Amino acid sequence: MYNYSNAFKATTIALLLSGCATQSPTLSSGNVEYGDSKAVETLTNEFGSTDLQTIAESMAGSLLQSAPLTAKQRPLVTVADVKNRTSEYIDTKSITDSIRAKILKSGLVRFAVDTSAMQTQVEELTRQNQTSLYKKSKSKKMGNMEGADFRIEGSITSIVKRAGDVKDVYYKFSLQLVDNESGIMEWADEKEIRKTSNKSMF
Amino acid sequence: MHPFKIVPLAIALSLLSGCASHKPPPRPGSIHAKVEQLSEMSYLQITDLRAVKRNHLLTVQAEINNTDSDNQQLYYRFKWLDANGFTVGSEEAWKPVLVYAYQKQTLTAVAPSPQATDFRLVVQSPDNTGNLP
Repeated sequence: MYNYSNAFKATTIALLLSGCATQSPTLSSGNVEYGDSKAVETLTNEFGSTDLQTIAESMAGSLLQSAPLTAKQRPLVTVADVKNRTSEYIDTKSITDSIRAKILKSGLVRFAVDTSAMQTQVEELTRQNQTSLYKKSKSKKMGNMEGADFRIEGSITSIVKRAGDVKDVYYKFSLQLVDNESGIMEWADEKEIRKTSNKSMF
Repeated sequence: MHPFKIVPLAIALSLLSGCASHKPPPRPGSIHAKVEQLSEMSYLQITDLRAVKRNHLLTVQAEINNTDSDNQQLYYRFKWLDANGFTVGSEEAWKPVLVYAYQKQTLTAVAPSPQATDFRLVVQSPDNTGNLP
């Protein structure tokens, strides 16, 4: 009787424990795992994913609240260069792409093709109009592109300092909105980031 | 009852109760209804939350108060919801913020689109557990 009672208790506990364990649909060697792409990354104090994401969110939020963009009904904007003036390699196009994606998703602003995409735009129009492959009535006409009301441009700079085992990096990302017709800078904002690392074990 | 017979029952009950939360639901409209804490926050407290629509976009300002004599690290992000409770836009990145001793830190955020009519502030502070004075 004692043995039956113990076996019952053990089975109950095992069933309760196994209730939480499920088989995952994975095939893995055990060395690779997916992480959170939005996690705060502090592996080194060089420019990282968290810096890119924070800058993009901060700048997109600020731009969407800026007076020149809210004054017009869905203004047309283009992205010019963001210059990298730091001592490290930073893909500034990736930062502006993220800012642009966030602003576009709001539906409050439209974007004209930027200089890097202009070649593709011209080639597409040329193909539709000059290759005789398309119906005249269905091809998109030359000369109907719209000029952007504003352009976004900026720069990223850094100050790096070392003292013994301590390394301090300060980033400043500056963005401006310029009226293309008047050349007037209508809005500007900055995002600052400080990262400090210490190699000392104690 | 023999004490050893109670032990398996206690283990089974604790396993079952591990999934159930006994906290009462927060009052609608209160700060707690808008805040999701991923860890116990003893020293950092959200003391004020304001939301206003500016230029079609919901703008939120939260005030974090550090009641401790040590600096506290906080990680936060906002979740934006539409009128039906669906999330708007993609997940925000976690953002780190250092709150100095006894400092009141303000966090501001702008909704990603006009569809966002509600929000949740998700906070986590890893070294922020302890007994309140």
